[in-house]
Amino acid sequence: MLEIATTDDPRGLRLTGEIDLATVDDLTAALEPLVRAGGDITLDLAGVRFLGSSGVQVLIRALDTLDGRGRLLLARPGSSVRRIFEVMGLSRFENLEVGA
Amino acid sequence: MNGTSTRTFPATPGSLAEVRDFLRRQASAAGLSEAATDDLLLAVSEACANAVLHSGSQEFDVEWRDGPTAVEVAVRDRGTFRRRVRVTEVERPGGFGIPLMTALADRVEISEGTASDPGTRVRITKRRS
Repeated sequence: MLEIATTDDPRGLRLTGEIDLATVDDLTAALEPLVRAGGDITLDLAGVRFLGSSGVQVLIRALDTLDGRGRLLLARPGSSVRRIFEVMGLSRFENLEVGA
Repeated sequence: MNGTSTRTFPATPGSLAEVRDFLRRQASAAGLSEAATDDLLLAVSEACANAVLHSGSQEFDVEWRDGPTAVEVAVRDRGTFRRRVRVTEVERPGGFGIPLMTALADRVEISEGTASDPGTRVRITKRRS
């Protein structure tokens, strides 16, 4: 189960639930118009209990597509989400910021 | 004290959340730390995602076994490991599955199912500390 709410200030998505094979297509669809428009995108991850590699790949694709047209700001990740960011080396992306 | 429990799940994406609920309950009962539980959930989810995406099985088993120093989780499907295909293709759209498992776990053993002896088993070991 993944609930996705659009936020205007900051512009982005608030995600609640688990991001895996069952829900990752919903995340892709919700991100797509934001990435296409460009600009900074904030994802509020406070409610994300699980994020697997399929979800991280969606974020990486978004970063590639943004390519200088905006940043991805990942706000309030929990310990499990921080862990996969660390293991998958997301800090190598210059247009990515992981918040507190 | 050793705890052992096995559950069978349909090989569908919707099972992955159920697998994690099963593991969270087992980890809590076994007194596994939060950090070790996070790593185990991530690693086992990747193994199960591979079983769902690539094994061609209708279902897969998840077997939990905890001991005094480590927890061991085995994921067993009924399929054939696609060793003749390039690794990048085997794992698509995952791609990160096996490297992630090895990064998160203390030991990962894969025994490959073949056409004459189907059933790929991935055994993931995580130390308690």
